[in-house]
Amino acid sequence: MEDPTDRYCATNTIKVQGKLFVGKGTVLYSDLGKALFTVVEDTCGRHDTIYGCCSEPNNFLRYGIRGTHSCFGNFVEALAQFGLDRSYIVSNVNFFMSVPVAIDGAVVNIYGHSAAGNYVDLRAERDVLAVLSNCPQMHNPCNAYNLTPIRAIIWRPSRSGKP
Amino acid sequence: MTEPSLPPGEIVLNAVVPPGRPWGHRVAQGDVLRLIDLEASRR
Repeated sequence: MEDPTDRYCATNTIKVQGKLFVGKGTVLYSDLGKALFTVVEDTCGRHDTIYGCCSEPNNFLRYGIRGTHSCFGNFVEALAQFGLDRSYIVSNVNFFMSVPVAIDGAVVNIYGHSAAGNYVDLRAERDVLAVLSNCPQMHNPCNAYNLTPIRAIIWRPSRSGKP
Repeated sequence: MTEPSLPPGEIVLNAVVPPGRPWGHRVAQGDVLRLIDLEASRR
C-alpha cells in the first residue's frame, strides 16, 4: 500500500472504460489515476459502481429507522484494523449487485442478480488494501432480505501461469 | 452452498466473510483477490 490517501475512484473507473458496470476487463483506478485492480475473471457479468454503500444516516433518510447496522459501519470497522478512519471511505463497488439506470435517470431494479458460486477475480496492479462489507441491509431487496456469506481468497499465480 | 474449484497457484488467504460482516486485507501486487458469492440469496 503505497499511499492510503490515494483511494479507489469510481468516476475515474467509469470515465476510462466509458461504462457504468464493472465486468471482466475493467480496471479499477485510484484518485490519482493509478490502476489498483484489473478484473481478470467474472462469472457474474456486472457489478455496480454508482450506488455506494448503505449507512445509518441514509437508512434513516430512506426508511425512517435509526440504529441500523450498515456497510458504512462495516467499512469503519475494517479500516480501523489498519489505523485508518472513516475519512478513507469512498464510493465503493457493489459486487454481485446491478443498478441499471433508466433513460429518465431513474435507478431501477436494485436487486442482486448473482447466482450461487459466481465469482470475480481481481488482480492487484500494485499493493492494495482491500476492505469489503458483506452487506447487512435488511430494509430493501438488494439482499432479498436474506443475508448470506461470501468467500474471499487471495491467491498468487504461478510465474509462468495466468492471469 | 456452491463453490468453484480453488484457483491455481499458491493460496495466500482463504476466508469466509459471514453475512453482514466486514473484512479487510492487504493484497500484494500480482496477487489475485477472488470474491465468491456462496449462496446468492438474491432475486
